[in-house]
Amino acid sequence: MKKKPKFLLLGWDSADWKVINPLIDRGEMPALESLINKGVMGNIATLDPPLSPMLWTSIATGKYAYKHGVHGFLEKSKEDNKMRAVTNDSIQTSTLWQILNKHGFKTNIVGWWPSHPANKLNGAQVSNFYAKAGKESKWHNWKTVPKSIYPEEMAEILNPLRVHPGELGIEQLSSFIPNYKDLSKDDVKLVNLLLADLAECLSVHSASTYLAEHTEWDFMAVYYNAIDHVSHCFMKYHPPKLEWVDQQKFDLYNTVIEAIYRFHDMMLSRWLELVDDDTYVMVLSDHGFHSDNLRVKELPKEPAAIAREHNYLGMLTLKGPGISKDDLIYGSSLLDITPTILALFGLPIGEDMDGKVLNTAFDSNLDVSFVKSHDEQNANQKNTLNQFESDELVRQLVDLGYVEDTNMDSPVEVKRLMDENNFYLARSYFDARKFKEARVIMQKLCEDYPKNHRYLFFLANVHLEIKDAPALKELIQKLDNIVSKGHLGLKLLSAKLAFIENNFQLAIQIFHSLMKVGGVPKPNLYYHIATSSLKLHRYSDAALFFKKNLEHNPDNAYALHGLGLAYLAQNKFEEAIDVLIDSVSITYFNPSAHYHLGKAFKSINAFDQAEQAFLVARQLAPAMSKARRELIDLYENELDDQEKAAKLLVEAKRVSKGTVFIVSGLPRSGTSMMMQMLEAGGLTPFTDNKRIADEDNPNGYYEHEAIKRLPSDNRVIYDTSGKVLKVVSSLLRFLPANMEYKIILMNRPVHQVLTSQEKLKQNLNKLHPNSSVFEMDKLLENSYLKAKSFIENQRNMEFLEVSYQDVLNSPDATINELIKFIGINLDGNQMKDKVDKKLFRNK
Amino acid sequence: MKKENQQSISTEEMIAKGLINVLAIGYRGVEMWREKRTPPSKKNEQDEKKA
Repeated sequence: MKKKPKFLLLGWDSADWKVINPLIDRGEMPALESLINKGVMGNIATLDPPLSPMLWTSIATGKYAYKHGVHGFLEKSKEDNKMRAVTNDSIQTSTLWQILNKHGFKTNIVGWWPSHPANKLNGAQVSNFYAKAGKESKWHNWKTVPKSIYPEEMAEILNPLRVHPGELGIEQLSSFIPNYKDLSKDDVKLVNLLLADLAECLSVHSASTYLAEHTEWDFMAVYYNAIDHVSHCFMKYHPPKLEWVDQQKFDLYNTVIEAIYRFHDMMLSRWLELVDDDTYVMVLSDHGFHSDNLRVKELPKEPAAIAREHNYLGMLTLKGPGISKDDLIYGSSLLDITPTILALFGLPIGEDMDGKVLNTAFDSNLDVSFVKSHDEQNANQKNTLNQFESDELVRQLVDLGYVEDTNMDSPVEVKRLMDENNFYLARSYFDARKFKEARVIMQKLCEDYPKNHRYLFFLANVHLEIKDAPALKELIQKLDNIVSKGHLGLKLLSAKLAFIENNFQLAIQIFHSLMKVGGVPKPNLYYHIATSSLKLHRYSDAALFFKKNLEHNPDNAYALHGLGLAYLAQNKFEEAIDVLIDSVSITYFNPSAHYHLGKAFKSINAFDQAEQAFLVARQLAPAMSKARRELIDLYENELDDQEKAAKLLVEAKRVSKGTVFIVSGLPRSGTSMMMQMLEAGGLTPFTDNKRIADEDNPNGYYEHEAIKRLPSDNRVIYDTSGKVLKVVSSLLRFLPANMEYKIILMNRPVHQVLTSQEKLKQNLNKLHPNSSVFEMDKLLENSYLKAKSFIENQRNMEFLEVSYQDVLNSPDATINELIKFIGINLDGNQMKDKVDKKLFRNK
Repeated sequence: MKKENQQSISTEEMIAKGLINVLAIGYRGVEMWREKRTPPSKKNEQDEKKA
């Protein structure tokens, strides 16, 4: 019989490989080193907003915050409508331990944030309120916190194991601050915070080690917050010294960060003694913490500003039976922890969970089964608590700067704080790419707080992501009346507006002007200039500015991806491969980067590696049909695996049911002829035949009145799945975003387009009476490039550029390419019959 | 310190050699530490004096 798994999950809030790696290299974190040697390690991507109670609940549920219900540090009490530290009450879905319990597994949960009041479990729970020591409390008459321990009878044993800050003294302090004798009165607050953090950490460690030794358990989760709290207080003193840090303080505190990490390693060492080799041990953080030149000198005065010190990559390591040894894993997200652990216990994963099983950590893939949701079977048990129980945690959050020091009882403040939670909720939707949901919340917040810069600028980001230029313009005008003249954020927005309007030249000009003014971090501007340069096909400039960005932040996976694209376009394939591998090593979940890596490998005939990269792209984004197309091409032409190619072709056919085929381009660039060809090949055209054939288009125009109305009503597109329709390039941007498109973009030299129909020229000159033919040339060329760039930028659009002259001169090759692109076996001979060289009259 | 060394030394020896902080042992460490430190009554007096 298969042995029942046993799993220990240790949460180290804010732990970051950038601090850990040098310590391991010096042999100063031997326990973590041994764990890594026996298992896998890697980065783990955090979620936005990077606020701990939201993140640890995502870890414990496998869901985004907008699903699990914890939307900040505070919540409104149902009992008295006052604000209090967030509790179990907010969690609206099953936690990992509740699911394990339902299936008979015993769990011990200690310190998890949030986990108060301690719920009834099949096992034991010690809440995150357990060890909070009030400022005024004395260690010898320290009150216990009601409902912080389940089962209650364990309180008698566990409460005395708590360590009070007042118990700690020079002996402990000297491990963190060797020169403690140099401390002055100015240092009292900081030192007291350090001792309070250490005491809480020791309390959690004491209770959890007791439970580990004295109870039966299958799963145990312990949360330590000391690395986060200590980092917020002392990271600025961590070597290397920053120029703005006082030398005396640096001399005093520069050892604190490494000391707290080493202490955690000692605690881990004890854990490794308490469990056997068959126990899975996972250590992870919810996000990292900037320890280098990205450390922030001054934080803005805004709620939860200190979260700006967080690094978006945390750390993850796991060992146990079946786990790869001494290996790296990529692409982990906080959302993956619950699905992975459920799969390890042989339990189904909820289809409503947002994460995936971390199969790359295992020697062989785990068997994974699914259930619609665990919530149907698992109603949350709720408990009640009194306001006073949360006061101390709120106090601690205020001290750290996570929460504002305000009156939590006032109805006005309660509304404001709840609205701040709504802001975090909108950010969670945004993070899950649910922009419309985020927009609804942000529009309401911006109505209620019309002068709140943070809310207004975040709404602007939502507009940017939706690419709603008119709404963004309106918001910029509104902001212009609110913010000071020459506000840098507003200028930056104007540049981004130019970018989504495909006016890349203007965007670059504004970014450069901001560089001269100063105030906006230069690395951000470098990045924006680089992406705009890419759009303008200025690849050398793009590479230069991506490199400048990377000098400041070498781990910027998106800049590495951009640099890879610039190299790819310059046929520098080896360089492209290097930086694209770096990019996906840092942020694995970027299907597009894997796709481009595949393209680079394919270009140097490294077909096996290309296959792997395309497979990963397809795995991460099953709807990415261009990766599938590349795989079909590889299997058919390079790897000689017709079976795999055939399977993918079948899949392509199935997927194409939800795809709309579009023929686009400038007017008079051969779009009608292409429509005829595709109809002859077997596709159904979407046309109302209202515009009848004439001398200019003797075989018909293939137009539809409804398509001309796309800017005001695009619902007609939902009826066109599987059909082919003609959409002029300027209307492409109005297509609904929730469908897939395969676009055949007709390319014809502009001078031919211009001379092909005198009427068109006249019409254009009516619009632009002062334009010369040369200017018209430029105008049309720009219009074509803008359309192409727009398509390149859309996740749901694939395109094939087809030269009008190629269709006429070498129809066979073009038709083969078309059939491959469409992914359906069209009738090539019928298509060829529609190529009418007589049409090509205006050379 | 390498893994092999870690396995060959007991926690007690590690504490004795100063390789591990007694408090990192968990509840047992806290109990050991409390047994050896200043008796609570004296600490109370010290606290009150400090205040």
